[in-house]
Amino acid sequence: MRDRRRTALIALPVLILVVLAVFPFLWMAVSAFKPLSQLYTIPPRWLPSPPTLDNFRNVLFESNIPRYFVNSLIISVGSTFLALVFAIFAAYGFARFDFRGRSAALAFVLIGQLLPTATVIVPLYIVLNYLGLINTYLGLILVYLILTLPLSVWMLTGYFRSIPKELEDAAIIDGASQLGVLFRISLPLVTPGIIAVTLYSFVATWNEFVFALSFATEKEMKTLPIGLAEFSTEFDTDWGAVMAASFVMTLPIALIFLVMQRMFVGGLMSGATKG
Amino acid sequence: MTLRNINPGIWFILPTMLLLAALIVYPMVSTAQLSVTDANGAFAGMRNFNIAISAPSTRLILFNTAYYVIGSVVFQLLLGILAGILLNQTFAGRSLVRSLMLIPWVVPGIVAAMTWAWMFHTDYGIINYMLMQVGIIAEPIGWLTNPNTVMPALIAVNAWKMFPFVAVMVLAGLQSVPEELYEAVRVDGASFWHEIWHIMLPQLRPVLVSITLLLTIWALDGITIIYSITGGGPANRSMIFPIQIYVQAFEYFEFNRAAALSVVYFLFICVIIVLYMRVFAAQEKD
Amino acid sequence: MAQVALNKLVKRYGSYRALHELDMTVEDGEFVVLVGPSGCGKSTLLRMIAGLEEISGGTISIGGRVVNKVRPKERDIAMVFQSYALYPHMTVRKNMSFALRLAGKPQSEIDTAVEHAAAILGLEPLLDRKPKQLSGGQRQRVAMGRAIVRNPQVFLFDEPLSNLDAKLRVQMRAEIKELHQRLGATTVYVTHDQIEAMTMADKIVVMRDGHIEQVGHPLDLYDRPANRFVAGFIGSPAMNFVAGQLDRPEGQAFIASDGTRIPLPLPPDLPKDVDVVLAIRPEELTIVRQNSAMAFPATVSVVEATGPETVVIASACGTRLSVVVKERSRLRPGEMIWLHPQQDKVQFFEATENGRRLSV
Repeated sequence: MRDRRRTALIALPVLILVVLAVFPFLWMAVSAFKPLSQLYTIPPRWLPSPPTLDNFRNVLFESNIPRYFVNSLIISVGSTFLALVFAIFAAYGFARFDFRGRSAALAFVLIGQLLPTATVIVPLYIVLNYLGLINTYLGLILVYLILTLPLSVWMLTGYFRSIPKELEDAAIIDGASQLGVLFRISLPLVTPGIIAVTLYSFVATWNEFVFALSFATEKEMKTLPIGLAEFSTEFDTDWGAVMAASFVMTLPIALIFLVMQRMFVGGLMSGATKG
Repeated sequence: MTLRNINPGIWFILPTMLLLAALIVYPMVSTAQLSVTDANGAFAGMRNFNIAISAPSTRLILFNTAYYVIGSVVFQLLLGILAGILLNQTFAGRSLVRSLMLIPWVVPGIVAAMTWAWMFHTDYGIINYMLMQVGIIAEPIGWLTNPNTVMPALIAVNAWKMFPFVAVMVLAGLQSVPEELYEAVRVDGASFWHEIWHIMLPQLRPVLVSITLLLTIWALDGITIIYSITGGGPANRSMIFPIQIYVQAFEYFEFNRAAALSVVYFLFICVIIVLYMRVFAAQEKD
Repeated sequence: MAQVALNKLVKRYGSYRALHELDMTVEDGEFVVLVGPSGCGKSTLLRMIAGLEEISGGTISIGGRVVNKVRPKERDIAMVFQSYALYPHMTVRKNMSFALRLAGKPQSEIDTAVEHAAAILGLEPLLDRKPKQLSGGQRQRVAMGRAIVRNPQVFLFDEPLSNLDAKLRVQMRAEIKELHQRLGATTVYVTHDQIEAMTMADKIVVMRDGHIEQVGHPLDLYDRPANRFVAGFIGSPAMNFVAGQLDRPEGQAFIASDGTRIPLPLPPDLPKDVDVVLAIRPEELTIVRQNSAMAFPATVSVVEATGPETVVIASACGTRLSVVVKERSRLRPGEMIWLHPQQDKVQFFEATENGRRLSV
């Protein structure tokens, strides 16, 4: 009896929660498939009839979005990979060795992870300008290390720490060098961590807005988030195209999420993410 | 001390620390330097600070920033805690609901911003339509153009975006509460509300403290949503501190003034980061 | 020849001294057990022999060569860890061959060595499994196999049985011992379990607080412990201690601190006016039902029957004494009994906290 009442009591709030979480996303998808005339009607129509691919055609063939997509991909992959290479060594050092200044260095990494981007954009712009790296892939890849490197170090340190010390001792007795232990024993054992860190870094750079806005100002170098924002800054926003582009931009993230949901949530709980 | 005597751990972390120093420490030092010089590099004392702080818009911007941060954090926590407690109950389809709830957090910030901007559209937005259908409002509201509604609308977007993070953390916190504890209070005759008040919230306290600090830092960093939806408008009514830094630097090219703002902003953020690290360290110890 | 010798070996962590100038020799082919309570430094010592911990002072030599600065892989040792430390991402075969592969041995030699070790330990059917798919005892055997494959001069064991259940522990104890007899390699074995030490060792090294308390053959340690610590540590149930003084003038009795008189027909040659501690093993006390000139009174507190023998815990002399008897006992708690010490087994120690044994 009590169970049935409880179910009824829970059903309504759960329904509200689901609608709240899902509706904007669905509305974006639905809008992306609406022809112009159905987007701008009063009252609004719930579903497109018939659905059209015009918006996607616009986005994919008549805008810069494909170029931005490629830019985003290059920069995200580059920065994620670079951060991973550095972070593997640093995280291993933090996890396995005790040295003077270790906790201070670790605290510095944490600060780096929490530091808002706005505090450093001005001097970064000056430095990048000086090095001729404004509007280059390399420039953004390097700058994005501010997002990805502390995050990767922080997360991987936790993963490396969870490997029993005795395993590494055994490998040393077996004749492995310090680097041999890292690459033959520890690294294979933190594969889940490597995957999680890769995903996180990728998503963080894929979504990044402020640095891209400041340091990639030329059409050839802009990334997806900037391209998306551009649609709406003009007076006459083509909302169908914006929603279609949003859809395209969300797609890779959604795929990653669907495949790796468990890891996503696990990483989320380590509190290791910039919004 | 010879090279051989250096702990190998130092060698492992050295490349990363150098890189981070170049990417974070150097820019920060450089910011400090810029903030006390003029455009030609001559020492300018506190002039940049004075100009930046005494600007007529400063009070409004500070107010907006506080409004945005407090509003966002309160609603993120409220929604997140409710969702977390709800999802900790047993019901059919729970794991599906748990996945769906993560959508706002997974969607890129800029996409969330664009989608909500479209939903808030004065004439064709679905929100105005629904509110009018239900009879809450009589005529369309210009959510993003009306100075009185722009901040609440932006706070709503930010709350929507981040509440799943709170919910997941709360859920994890609740799942670490041993089932016996709930059973014990039920045997003692407690109601569901007693459970929330006497078991769940006390158990969640440490998690909530650190989440609150994190959310505060993130809200303070909230350029993406506001800048892409309103650009700080109308008439600066949604202008917050970090956007002002960006505008000063990249729209007015007042780098020194922007640097002065950055320093003030950084010092403020530091207070919260230090608080967070103390909480974090204390929790690590347990 | 692989003798392991410690010479004034010191380990410091900052200002804290973990090991104090240890001197000890493990002869070639000997099975030596390092035993002591946790924190006594036995594992640190083993890890120093292995080369996993730096040496702060003194020397360690293996086979006559000082190895202080020699890397672990060049010391010709193998080690079995408490958690077995099997590489989870490698099969049993890969685990066992890892060291040989690192050393760049030819494949045929590796295969022969692995199969030989697998045959000795009965691991042939498991060679292609991952550690996760093995039981505790099988993992233990793989860990030993990994050590055997390298054909080392010295085997090091760090509490290898403490993760096994009691029954398996007894079985593996015998297997390790058998393996040692077969291979004849010098072995240093660390444990906190004195029964393991007693049953396995050719020579036991008892350690406490970074000091070596006594070195010797298991039964020598049992019969002639050097001090109260060793006396109390070796043997289960633990040796009984009674504080008091010898009776003046002839010393034909021992007066416990509560006044109980323990008769001693063979008066020991000890000073009469100083506090000493009388010690006797539980099986060297006999229970008698009537008072006699040779016994002292006690009250039964607890009777624990284990089957082959019975442990009686009795209050006497202001303390609790355990008595082990072979026959089944009908004693009940609260019953009055008399205890009769076997005269030639009574030992005496200085009354200090870790008093030395007094020669009688």
